[in-house]
Amino acid sequence: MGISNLLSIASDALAAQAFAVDVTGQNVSNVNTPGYVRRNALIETRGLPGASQGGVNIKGINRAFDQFLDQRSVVASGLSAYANSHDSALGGLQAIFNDTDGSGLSDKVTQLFSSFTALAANPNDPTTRATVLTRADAFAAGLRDSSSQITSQRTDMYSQAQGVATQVNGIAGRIAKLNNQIAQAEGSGSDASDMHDQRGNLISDLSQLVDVHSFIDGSGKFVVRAAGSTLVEGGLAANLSVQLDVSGNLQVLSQRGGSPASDVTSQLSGGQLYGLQQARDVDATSAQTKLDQLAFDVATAVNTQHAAGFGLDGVSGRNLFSVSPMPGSAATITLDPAMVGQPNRIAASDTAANVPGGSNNATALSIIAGQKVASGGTRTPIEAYSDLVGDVGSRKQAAQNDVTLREAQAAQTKSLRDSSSGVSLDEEMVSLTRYQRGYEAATKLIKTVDDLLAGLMQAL
Amino acid sequence: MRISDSMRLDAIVRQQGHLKEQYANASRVAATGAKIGAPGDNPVGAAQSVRLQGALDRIDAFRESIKTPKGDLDQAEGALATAGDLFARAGEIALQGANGSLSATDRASLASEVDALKTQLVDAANTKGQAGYLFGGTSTATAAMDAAGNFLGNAADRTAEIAPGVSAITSVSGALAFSASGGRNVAADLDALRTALISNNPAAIAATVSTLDASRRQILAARTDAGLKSNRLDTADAAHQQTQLSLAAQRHAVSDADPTTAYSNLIALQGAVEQAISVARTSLSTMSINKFG
Repeated sequence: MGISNLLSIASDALAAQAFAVDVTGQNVSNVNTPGYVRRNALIETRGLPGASQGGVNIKGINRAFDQFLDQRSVVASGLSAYANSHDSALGGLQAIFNDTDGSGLSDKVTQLFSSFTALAANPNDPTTRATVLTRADAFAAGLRDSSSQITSQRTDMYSQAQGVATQVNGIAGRIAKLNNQIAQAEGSGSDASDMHDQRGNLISDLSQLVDVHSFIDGSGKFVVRAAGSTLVEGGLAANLSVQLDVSGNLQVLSQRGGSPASDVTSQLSGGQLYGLQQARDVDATSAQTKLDQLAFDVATAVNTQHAAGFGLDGVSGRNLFSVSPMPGSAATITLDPAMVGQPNRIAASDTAANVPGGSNNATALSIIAGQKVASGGTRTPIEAYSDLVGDVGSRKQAAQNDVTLREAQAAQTKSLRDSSSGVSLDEEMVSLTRYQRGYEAATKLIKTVDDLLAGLMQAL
Repeated sequence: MRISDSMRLDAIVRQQGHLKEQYANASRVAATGAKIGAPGDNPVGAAQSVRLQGALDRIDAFRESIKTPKGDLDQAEGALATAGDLFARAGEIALQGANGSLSATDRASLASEVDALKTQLVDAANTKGQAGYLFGGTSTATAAMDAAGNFLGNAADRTAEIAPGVSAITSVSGALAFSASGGRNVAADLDALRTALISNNPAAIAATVSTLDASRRQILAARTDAGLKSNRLDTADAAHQQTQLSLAAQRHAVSDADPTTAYSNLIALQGAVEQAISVARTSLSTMSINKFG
């Protein structure tokens, strides 16, 4: 090997070490970049023709990417997003029935019956009679308000779900575009690592919205499946939309190209969309049904007893509440129009003859508080309401526990993924030092060759 | 296992987040004294708390509503005591009037006193309480007795729920106290004495002694009834007071935090947060980012 070859080897070494320093620098600069997959500089020996020694060649860059770990992290992250979305939505529902801060209905239920108790003690007192009407109106208003809040939250969740679907479509379109760009770049032999990172980030973002599974299919296309249907296939993205079905529940539709939209609601299993769907159409609906049942049961029991009694005008057969059958009882309950502003019509007496001092019917109304008139004749009004509070609380607690579990799982899988793909500044510092020393050694080699050549020139 | 920088930072953030969440909850418990901030904190406890509070509110309502009939019963008892005294005096007048040595003028004078007694009897029978006329039965808006002594009320009882599912009669029957429904028409008995006195008939006057005594006993029986009903309300109220204490204690156990424990937890968590911050600082100081410079 000639001395000039040594210079060529040193030159290769300088280029290779500088390239490795560049890669290290990229890793260091992206240490906090979400979704960044650390790079490794690939360098290899290069044989020189006719020589036993060789130089070094830059082969390229390798991404420390583990498809299996990444997929697990994406799934776990999606489930965590679902749990958080579900829990957050239930937080709003819970606030409607939070009697610990005075926003619940328990006061209104007990005050209604307490007003009957007071009426029984003083059936001819105008103030006591007016109080009964006020309390009955407050009871009905409380039910309507709670029902309205549930409806409002369900409406909000519908809007949110539509917003999520729009986001999903936006991300799906960008993934499809990136798929094309990656295919073009890799087809032309260019490095597409950055685009792979971008696509990984988009998949991660998508998993926050809807359950996601991605893979390379047999024809080499990158495929993203969401909610049991294909969302992206190579450069084509489907369209996800949210509407309400005939029952008023969320309906998630997926449409690809010109094919008819398919209902994928039952296929949802992760992401915010699933959390919203569960909170809206399972939990909120359950609370609404129980509230309707409570409104209908109490109003019916009170009306039946009230109609049996006589007002101060000696007339019987009047209802205290106007209530529609389920569903919608809580939303529609009001004071009966015939009773509005008519305290004398409150039926405290059990017979016309016992008017005005008769209070047997008021006593019977008061006693309903302790009678099992709700939930199919198994619970008293306050027990039925406490069951509703307990049910909402249990759902919230379960959702909170799910958040804890899913977040831990997401953190664990992200940790495993980062263990493989993340940047370690410790390692990069060592690499930097190593490549720096390599570069210095190559410089030294050039100087040595230069010295040798200088000595040779001097000898000549 | 290979440890990347993001793993270390994520772990620190996660640990700090968990601790701060616990600290915030402990702060809320210590500040409010409420173990349950929302149903999700303890669903069973929240439901139990609603039921206990409901029961406490009902007890409050019972205790409050008992006050009206209790006051009315005590007032009725007082009126009946007065009425009983009237008949005791009427009996004395009858004995006095039956004395053969009295002149017609003397008896006429006694008859005038009987007139006054009757007026007082009508007044007593028409005593008004918070619920209206006390002795009219359910006819509380009109006087129970007219000036002639005719009973105008009815025999119906007024009731109230005095404990969960327990109703009690909260009125004294004016019909039984003053009208023939109770055995004697007490006003008529006074009228009979007056008539006998005016007619200056010692034998007829003597005959009213026993009827007046019967009327007095009838009124006293009604008074006793009023007293018993009032006592029953007292007993119910005392029982409510005990129940209230018991329910309040149960609710306290379910909903309220022990201040010492709450404060201890807060201090312990404060220490844990400070410790975690210190550990995080140490961990961050060992990261190579500090050595690049």
